[in-house]
Amino acid sequence: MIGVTGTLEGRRAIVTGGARGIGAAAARRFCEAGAQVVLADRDQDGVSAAAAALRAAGFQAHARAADVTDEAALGRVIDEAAELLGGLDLVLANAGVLTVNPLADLSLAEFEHTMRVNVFGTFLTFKHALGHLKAAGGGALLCTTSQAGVRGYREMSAYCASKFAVVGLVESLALELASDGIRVCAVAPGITQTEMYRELVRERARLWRLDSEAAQARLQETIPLGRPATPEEVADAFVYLASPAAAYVSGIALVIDGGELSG
Amino acid sequence: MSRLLEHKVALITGAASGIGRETSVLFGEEGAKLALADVDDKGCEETARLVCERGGEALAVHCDVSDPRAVETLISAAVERFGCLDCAFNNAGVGGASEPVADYDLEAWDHVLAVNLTGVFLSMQAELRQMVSQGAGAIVNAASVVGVIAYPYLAAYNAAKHGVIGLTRTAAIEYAGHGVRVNAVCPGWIETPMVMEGGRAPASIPEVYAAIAGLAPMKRLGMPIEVARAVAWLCSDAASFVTGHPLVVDGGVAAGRERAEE
Ligand SMILES: NC(=O)c1ccc[n+]([C@@H]2O[C@H](COP(=O)([O-])OP(=O)(O)OC[C@H]3O[C@@H](n4cnc5c(N)ncnc54)[C@H](O)[C@@H]3O)[C@@H](O)[C@H]2O)c1
Ligand SMILES: NC(=O)c1ccc[n+]([C@@H]2O[C@H](COP(=O)([O-])OP(=O)(O)OC[C@H]3O[C@@H](n4cnc5c(N)ncnc54)[C@H](O)[C@@H]3O)[C@@H](O)[C@H]2O)c1
Repeated sequence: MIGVTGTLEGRRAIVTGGARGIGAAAARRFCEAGAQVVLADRDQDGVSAAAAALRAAGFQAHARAADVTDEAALGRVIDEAAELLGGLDLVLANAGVLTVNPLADLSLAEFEHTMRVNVFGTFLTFKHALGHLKAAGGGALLCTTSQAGVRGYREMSAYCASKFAVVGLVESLALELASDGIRVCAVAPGITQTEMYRELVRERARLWRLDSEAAQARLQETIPLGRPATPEEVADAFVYLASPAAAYVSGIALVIDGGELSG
Repeated sequence: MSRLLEHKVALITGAASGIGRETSVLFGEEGAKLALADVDDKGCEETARLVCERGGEALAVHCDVSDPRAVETLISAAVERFGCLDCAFNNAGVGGASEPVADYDLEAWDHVLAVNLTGVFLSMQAELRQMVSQGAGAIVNAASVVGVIAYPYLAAYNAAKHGVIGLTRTAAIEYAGHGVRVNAVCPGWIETPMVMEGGRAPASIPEVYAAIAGLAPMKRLGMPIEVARAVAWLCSDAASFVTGHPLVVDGGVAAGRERAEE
């Protein structure tokens, strides 16, 4: 029932930002649990490689190049995904970018890009998937916010604003779409071992004038469990939220942060 | 397919009824060995029977969770029987009186706080001592959607459930370094005896049932199994990085305000 395998039998999923990191791990877990998956990412080579790796493991996976800020292209890819899989009932809007800069140095272009990918991208993914989920008689719209979508982090105003906005989308759409049998949830990871974490370490090292090791130590100091999450641990939360085990769960941000936000 | 809680030893309080009973049966099916506790001996033994009937293993213990000595005895009995304690679901609870704050009876307040908040505190104390000595464990406390928002006229219940979340976060931070995860589950309106038979307006009355169902965006009450599955997930290794989280299982109630015409 809620074991890691077998809970998403027959489900048809699309995952954005699926080329690597959390998106790639979630796609793999979805497959292991019985789903078929289309991976979408702006990184064409990366997403092709990720889908090929899943196929090599015997899963049904396809890759599509798409920038989630390009409405026409994204819409096409979502329609294609539905066609490839014979419908869609599981969506993970996960593509995201990190921006770390103090207010004085934060350009409008950076702020706008952060909002475009993290907020508009999530909105567009949900909007264009909606018709397919309705046609399927319901499903789950999932997305990736962050611990920075629940609490403030200095020099991360653009990123925090974007991730708080994602929680607003989730809470509002959970109400609006419940009568269509559609659940809407987010996962809010703490720092997670991905390329984005390495980018965070670089940015923090720059701002704190520390070497990379010292910056990592400072970033992990506030995590009660004393380490970052693995992408697989975050992926497991998506499997739970996607599965029938979470049938009465909607409108939440499930926090996977090793206790960081409790203190 | 491997079972979610294979070889784990779990303690469940308030196991005689509702969410506690359903969680006990699910845990048994998922491979856990169970120590079950309640003040209702007959109900608790019936739950143990249901677990065993499905091939599980369960020990039923009489315990009032508001009594520190009884709680100590309970944890010792569980460890004596099964050798350790991997998971605990501190679920025993009462609904209590329904009155405006100014009229809320002190004795009624004390009773709700004693069971719903002090009971969780005492249970956690004994469980944490055991789990720290093992270097591992997972605790789930029964909070409620009214640990996050409030319903009117439930002063003691709301306060106790808000308190459970505070206690959960405190223990999560304090014991993460000992390998113990502590989370809460926050059910919305669930079809259990507490809701169907309890209070002045039991949901067994169709009009009351419809009104309660209308509070949730999903327009229905939740079933005990839907809460049980969240508890099982939090207790399992799939949630290895989750601690201090109040997991809301409420059909969308806490996400926002639904108006009657919607
Ligand atoms: N790693 C962390 O510590 C962490 C913590 C909290 C939240 N998150 C969130 O998790 C999500 C996944 O991040 P990750 O850690 O796996 O990072 P990552 O950088 O490894 O992966 C992000 C993926 O998104 C893709 N992407 C970026 N912009 C895109 C666009 N416009 N269109 C299509 N694809 C695009 C990238 O190509 C990349 O494959 C993001 O939303 C991120 O904000 C990450
Ligand atoms: N049903 C709901 O809608 C709902 C919603 C949110 C939270 N909860 C919480 O879930 C938990 C279980 O509730 P339920 O709905 O299954 O209720 P229930 O009344 O069906 O079961 C509660 C059980 O707790 C036992 N209990 C009461 N006082 C005790 C004590 N002092 N020591 C030991 N056991 C005691 C009762 O005998 C009963 O078996 C409670 O903590 C409740 O507050 C329930």
